[in-house]
Amino acid sequence: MASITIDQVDKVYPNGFQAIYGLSLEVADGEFVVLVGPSGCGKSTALRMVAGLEQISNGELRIGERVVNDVEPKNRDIAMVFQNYALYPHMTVAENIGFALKLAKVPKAEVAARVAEAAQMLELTDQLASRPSQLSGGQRQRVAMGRAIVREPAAFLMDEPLSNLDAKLRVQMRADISRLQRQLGVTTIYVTHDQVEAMTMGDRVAVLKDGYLQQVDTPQHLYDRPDNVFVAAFIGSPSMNLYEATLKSRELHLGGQSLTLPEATFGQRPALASYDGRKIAVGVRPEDLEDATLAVDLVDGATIASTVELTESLGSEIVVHFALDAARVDPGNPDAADDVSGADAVARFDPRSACRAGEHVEIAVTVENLHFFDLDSHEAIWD
Amino acid sequence: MTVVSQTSPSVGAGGTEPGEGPQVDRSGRTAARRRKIFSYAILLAFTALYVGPMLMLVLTSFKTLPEFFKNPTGLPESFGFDNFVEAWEQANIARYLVNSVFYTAVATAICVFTSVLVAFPIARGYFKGAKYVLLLYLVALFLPPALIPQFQLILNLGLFNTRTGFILLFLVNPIGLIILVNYIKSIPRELDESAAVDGCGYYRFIFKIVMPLIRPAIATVTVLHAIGIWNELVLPTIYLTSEDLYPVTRGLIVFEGLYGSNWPALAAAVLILMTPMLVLFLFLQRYIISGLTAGAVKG
Repeated sequence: MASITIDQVDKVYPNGFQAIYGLSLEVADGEFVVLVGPSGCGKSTALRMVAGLEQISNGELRIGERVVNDVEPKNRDIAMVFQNYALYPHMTVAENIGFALKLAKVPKAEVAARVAEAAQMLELTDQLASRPSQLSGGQRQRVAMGRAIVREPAAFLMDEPLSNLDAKLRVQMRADISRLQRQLGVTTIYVTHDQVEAMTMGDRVAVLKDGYLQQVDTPQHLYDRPDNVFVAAFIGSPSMNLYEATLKSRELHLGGQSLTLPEATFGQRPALASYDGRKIAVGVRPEDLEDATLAVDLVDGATIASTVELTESLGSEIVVHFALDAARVDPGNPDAADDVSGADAVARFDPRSACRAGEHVEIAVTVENLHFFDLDSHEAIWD
Repeated sequence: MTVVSQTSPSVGAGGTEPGEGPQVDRSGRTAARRRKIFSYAILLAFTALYVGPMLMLVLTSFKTLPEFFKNPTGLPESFGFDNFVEAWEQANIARYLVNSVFYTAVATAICVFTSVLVAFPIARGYFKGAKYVLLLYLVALFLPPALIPQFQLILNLGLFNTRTGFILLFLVNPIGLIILVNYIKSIPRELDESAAVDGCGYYRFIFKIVMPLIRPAIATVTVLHAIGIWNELVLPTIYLTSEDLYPVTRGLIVFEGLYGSNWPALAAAVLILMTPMLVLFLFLQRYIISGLTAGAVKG
């Protein structure tokens, strides 16, 4: 096992395109770090640089204490799991799993023992003689994992390993990979574009956009205290609602409506007072909006009124799309689709809510959970 | 034969398709049937076009020369093997066959082996200007054979009328290289990267991973190239002057007389000549067919 240190690393391609700008990230020994971001954000490039499949243009990369900038992939003591599994189609499962050991000239008996052990761990013992084409997607994925495990490397690098699986299998494999990683205690960098995967699997999550690292933190902290508009919108599903608003004393004017902010908000965010009279970006998570008729402890100045445009009942909750007459803030996520209903805002209501599309609705806002960002820099307003 | 086996399944499938829908009425079914009959008629015509000359060759090989002149297209009066024996002896087949096998085997092996080594980095773009190199091969396909410069080259190298010189003529096959390049492109690049991380070297990767995966393409190129060398008549006539070095095709010239040819013996000799290539084709056919369909569906 080893730590991985990425220190001020740049990646510039020969055609001049820069994929990574000054990336710095410290992955502790045994830690599970997820790199997440929209397509083209540089997450896979970063992982491939750690693997040695891409040259580093500037900066330093260390695995353990060793600088590995110019070390061949095979000498970095890492194992990689690819999106399409990259299994050798003409080899059996056992041969696939044992290939790296065979190349390393490990004695045959030991190869067989380690392959059997990995297969048992991954419940592949019955498939050892099969070829990849005879396996299901989930089994192929496990073979790819087996290939990584059997080498007992210093670090696992995983490049969207679950994106070829169906939704149900993905949930199961997510848990399996997390369990395996904890069991083996191997330092892991995991790349995904799926924020749910990122939040559920990582000890820490690093959010990237356009080659820049936006924020690295624990999943809960990312959710609670996003550093900027992009992270705020990227983490959480459905996404945070982001609008332009004007702050006047303790009143927040959101289009034609206003919300009263509690004193505590200004206590937690001293810098917010300096925005008095100015426009800011305000964010509210769908789970901080509730049907006012069902809200407990409803306070004055904490409701907004709107018309429901669409409801989606999920059983455990109702996702309500409604319009707001305030200007939206674009978080700059190239992958984000426009809201399905064409409406602006999304709320998650209790399933007992009786609201219907086309009806007027009073919405209670948990004002103490609002997020505030500078409208120009998109940075969170705190100190 | 090849045309029939390749075309009939798709035509059959296309013909039955409309009949499978539950709401197809009687007129639809009649139209489908008419289409099917039409398809089969075309197939039959093509089959006749391919099989006709083959059949005539086989029939001729059993006729005597007067019988052939009297009725060139009819059935032979008896099926004897005299022509085959005559062909075997007169065309010196036993002696020249060894040469043909040697030239074909050595040149094909070297050509296929080196083509894979060239095709892999071109397919992957692992060196600068890879696509221009491929373009050169493509251009070579359309250029006429450079007989005179090639002859000068072989002469100046001192390889005229030698086995080495003759084999040298068959070491590059542009169409084969293009087939290999396209096939290698269907192998996911992640396999290269995965192997690199696993500690697999470049040549080991080519021999242990790439070659087994492109077997269908290798089989196709092998058959194409081997048949080309085996059937070559012009080049041995130009480059080989000693009888010891003649391939089988060169031996067939004995049946070309000044005032007329011995067609039945020539037909028998041609049948003998084509047998090894037919065997090779049948042996490699399953790979070739899987090569034609590979990549059509997600693996």
